[in-house]
Amino acid sequence: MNIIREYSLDQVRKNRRTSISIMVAVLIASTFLCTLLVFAQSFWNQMVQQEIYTSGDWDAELMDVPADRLGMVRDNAGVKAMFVKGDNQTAFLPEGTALPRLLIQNCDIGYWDAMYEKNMLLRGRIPQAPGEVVVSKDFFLQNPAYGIGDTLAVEVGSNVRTHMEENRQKDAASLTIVGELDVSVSSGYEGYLAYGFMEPEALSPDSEVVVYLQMEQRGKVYTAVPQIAEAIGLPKDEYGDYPCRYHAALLAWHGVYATGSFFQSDVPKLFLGLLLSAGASMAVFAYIIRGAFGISAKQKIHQLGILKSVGAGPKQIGRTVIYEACILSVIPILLSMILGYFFSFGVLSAYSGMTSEVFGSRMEVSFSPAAAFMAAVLSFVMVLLAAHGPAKQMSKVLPIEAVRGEQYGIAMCGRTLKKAKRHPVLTKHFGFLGEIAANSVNAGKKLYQTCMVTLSLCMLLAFGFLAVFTVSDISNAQAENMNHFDVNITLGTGERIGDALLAELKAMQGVQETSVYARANCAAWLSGGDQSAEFLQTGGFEAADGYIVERDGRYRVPCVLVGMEQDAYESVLREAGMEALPESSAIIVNSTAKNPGARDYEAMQETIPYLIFEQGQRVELTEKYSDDVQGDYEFAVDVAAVIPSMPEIGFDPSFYTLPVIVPMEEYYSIIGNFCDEMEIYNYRNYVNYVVPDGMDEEIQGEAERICGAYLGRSDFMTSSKTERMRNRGRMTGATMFVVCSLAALFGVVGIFSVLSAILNSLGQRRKEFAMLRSVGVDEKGIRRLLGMEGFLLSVRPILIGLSLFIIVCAAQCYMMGVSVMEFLYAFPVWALMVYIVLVLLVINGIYILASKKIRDDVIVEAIRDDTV
Amino acid sequence: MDILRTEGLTRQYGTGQTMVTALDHVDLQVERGQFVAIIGASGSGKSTLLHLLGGVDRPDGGKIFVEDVDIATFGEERLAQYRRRKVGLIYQFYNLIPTLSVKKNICLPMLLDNKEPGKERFDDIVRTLGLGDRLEHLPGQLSGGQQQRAAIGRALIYQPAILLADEPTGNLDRKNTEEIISLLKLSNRQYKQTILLVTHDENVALEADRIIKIEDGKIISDKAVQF
Repeated sequence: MNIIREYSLDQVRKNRRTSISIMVAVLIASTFLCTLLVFAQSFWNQMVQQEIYTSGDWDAELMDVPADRLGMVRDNAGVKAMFVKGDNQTAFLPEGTALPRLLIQNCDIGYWDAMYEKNMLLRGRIPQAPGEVVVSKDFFLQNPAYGIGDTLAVEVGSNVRTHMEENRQKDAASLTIVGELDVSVSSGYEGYLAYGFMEPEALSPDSEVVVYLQMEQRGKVYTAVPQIAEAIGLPKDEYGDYPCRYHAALLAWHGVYATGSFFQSDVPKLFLGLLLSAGASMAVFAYIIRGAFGISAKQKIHQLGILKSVGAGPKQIGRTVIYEACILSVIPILLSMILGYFFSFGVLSAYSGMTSEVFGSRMEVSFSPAAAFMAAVLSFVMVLLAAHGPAKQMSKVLPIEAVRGEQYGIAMCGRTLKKAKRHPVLTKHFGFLGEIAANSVNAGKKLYQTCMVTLSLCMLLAFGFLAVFTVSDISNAQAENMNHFDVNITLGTGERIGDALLAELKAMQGVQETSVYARANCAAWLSGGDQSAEFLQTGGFEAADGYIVERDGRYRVPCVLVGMEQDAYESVLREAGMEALPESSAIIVNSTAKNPGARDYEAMQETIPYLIFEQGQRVELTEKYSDDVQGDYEFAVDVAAVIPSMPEIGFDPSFYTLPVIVPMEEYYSIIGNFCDEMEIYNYRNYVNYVVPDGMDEEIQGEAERICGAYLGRSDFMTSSKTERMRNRGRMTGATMFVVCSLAALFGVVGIFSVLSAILNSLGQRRKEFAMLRSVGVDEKGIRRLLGMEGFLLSVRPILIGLSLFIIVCAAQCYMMGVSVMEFLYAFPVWALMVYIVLVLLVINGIYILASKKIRDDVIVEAIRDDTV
Repeated sequence: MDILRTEGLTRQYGTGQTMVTALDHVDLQVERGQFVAIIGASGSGKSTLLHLLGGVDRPDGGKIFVEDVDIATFGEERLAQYRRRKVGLIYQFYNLIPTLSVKKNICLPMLLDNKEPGKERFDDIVRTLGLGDRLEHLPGQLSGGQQQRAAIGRALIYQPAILLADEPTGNLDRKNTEEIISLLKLSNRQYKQTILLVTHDENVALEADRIIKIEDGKIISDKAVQF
């Protein structure tokens, strides 16, 4: 074996204490990195699975594909798998059913396997053969005589939407109900939604279907799919696009983006966050472990000097440290894979348990061999980084200085005291022992630096996050207090919400106040002269950069079209002292924030007149509120009234957004002309309640029940103040649990580095203590001296950490407009106190334990020179 | 012919008011095969001179010519090679690697060059040093005299042209001192090695061909020993 390698291995074996402390530090640091990757992979996996669960496992969708071209799509080299939905049918139910029709969408076996509809199965199974159907839950609700397994004798025609079409040809057929789905369709269709089974080969050549694709190479989906559409002869729409759609959310999780959408996605930001976290953790741990390698290298400085003096080159000397790092890192890195998995499993399971009610699902812990390999590589790189500094330092030391190191105290493990400082306070109260203790801590400044940084960082990490959450909680509570409504309901089926459901929600018992509204983003192109004088004084359109776009001297002002029910709309008009105009009447809420940059919540609420509007004025609007919006439908409204603030309906418009309120029927007729995507989205209705104190959750539950009777579970969402507060508490608790778990790992490394540094320092000073004892310092004096050192050593990281923590708190409070008193009232100061006491106890405990050996030393043996 | 020559060799330690000049413009020539003793009081600069000649310390000024090449200009790697192959250093406190066997300690300079010593030469040295039965021991298991012999073996293994010994007998009793000096003289005669020996023992110094006396970093006398 190479002599340098052999020497390194011998050193590792002989210096067990140092080796073990390095191995523990590497083990915990690698465990941290492994945990970070397990967290990242589990989160990614959760997001992908959730996306697949709710939207299906597909990359692209081709619409209106003639059945005779399906073979061309399937045979395309870029296509990995193809699923088909379509050949929609209407089945006319026998007499006696509440609604007369089943609206059947047929899907092939691949579709059922890959798509999300199977996840909405409440009972039974999915269709597996033609003639089998699953039907929506409202079918069973409204027709209790039917059950799963029943066969219906029906007449089936191709997709029939209107009464006019009912005269088309119909064939007698029998359908077997095999399951119940949690889906719904608007009552306007006078039918129940159902899903059937199809074999694409059996489709008539002229029928058109929707095709879902999984691509061989996901990364090429945005170029390959239009080529496929072109190859099978699909026509382009009026915007020049083929009738295709992409599963952008899923593709983004796989790192695939459409041109220009990379920076709009949250995924790259999350990935960047992960990279930064991993990089910062590696750097911090490398710094911590570097201290341990430094101690080890300096312990050997005399021997390295000997090696140098007999001809070892700087590279060979550096290699002794690197080899040591490699030898000491193999076992800890391998162990960290197991430890990291179990640690992550424990932390994530607990986190999942705390947040499962908030998210509605539990996070599964994922750990692939690739992630394990990456964690191992990162850990190894971190160890090499840590060893690099001491290796370089050692290779530069002059041989004679290194040889003399132990004998003459030139480089006593970083303990260099150029000039003794005076410590009058300590000397006065603790005599010369106090002065010796202070000088010793001062001399070992470099040696203890790593411990200081680690413990300070640990404190900052745990309590800094706690401070951030506390401030955020205070801010959220302030915002929640300003929220007029106690229960909020969002209804979104992609179609107009049925009147029966809305009527039932409005008739809810125990509700003191109800608001129902819908809203759609749009924009108005205005000139500079349309700005109010007050708005101009605050900077006008020019100051609203990022919100308002200027083109050719015209400004695109973001607007929101708000639909209110007729009676509510008229009530607002009456309050404004106006009456509805005969043509497209609208109420303009003409106000904007006076201090958009304010941090204080109340200052943010102050408003000024925004633009210049008069009653009867016609305002031109467009659905194209952003360049990304495909549609460019333009419409106009006549101003019936201009009011200074938004009516209390539970909607708070964004900065520089102009609310345009219209009656609900007017709203629907306008958005009916929007492009498909916007139209579907804007059919959403928002229902809000004010309820008596303590009733919000009960009424929320009742609202859930009512909505559930009409809609699929994914078509509505409810929340209440109490629920939101509880969820925030859960989320904060769960996140703090994860942060504190990670901080605890830092803490353990910190404690080990303190242990190693203190043991090393005391070991090096055996002679010094023996000398003190030889001149008459008794056991009590040694204990006092070491106790003092321990105290001085533990006070520093606390003071450094506390100062940094105060800076973080002050910055947070300043940014969020939270007062110091509010913060102190909400922040758990006791936890900080516990941490401080713990640090004091641990460091002093280590000193007490370590000092026993010194007290037991035989003076003459410690003083004797034992240099080989 | 000079194997070693210094010109204006200067070494200072510390800075400002605490600066100490350990060697002050020393000019020295040593012929090949000479056995030179360097004597002087403690702190006179004799060890510093030896360390500079051995390439384990760097001068602040002046030149050190070894076989007409100035080693003061060498980079770290080349200087390490010089220490390995051209000089052998012997210290007062032996300075063996405690975790390596005596055999590996002796062979260390060659092992650092990824070489093994020839068996004949190794056996010859070990026989001369009387360490044949101690080769697999660790240094800590040897007496002081045996450890110093192992250190001499390490200095001899590469057959360097120059041997530099810094108080090699300072830690030994009279019997071991005589043995070590005999070994050095034998090496000087048998292998034609140039030896520079730092000592404060005048009896030991009298065993050399030439005695150089240093005081306050300067050579104050340089005399051949009269037999």
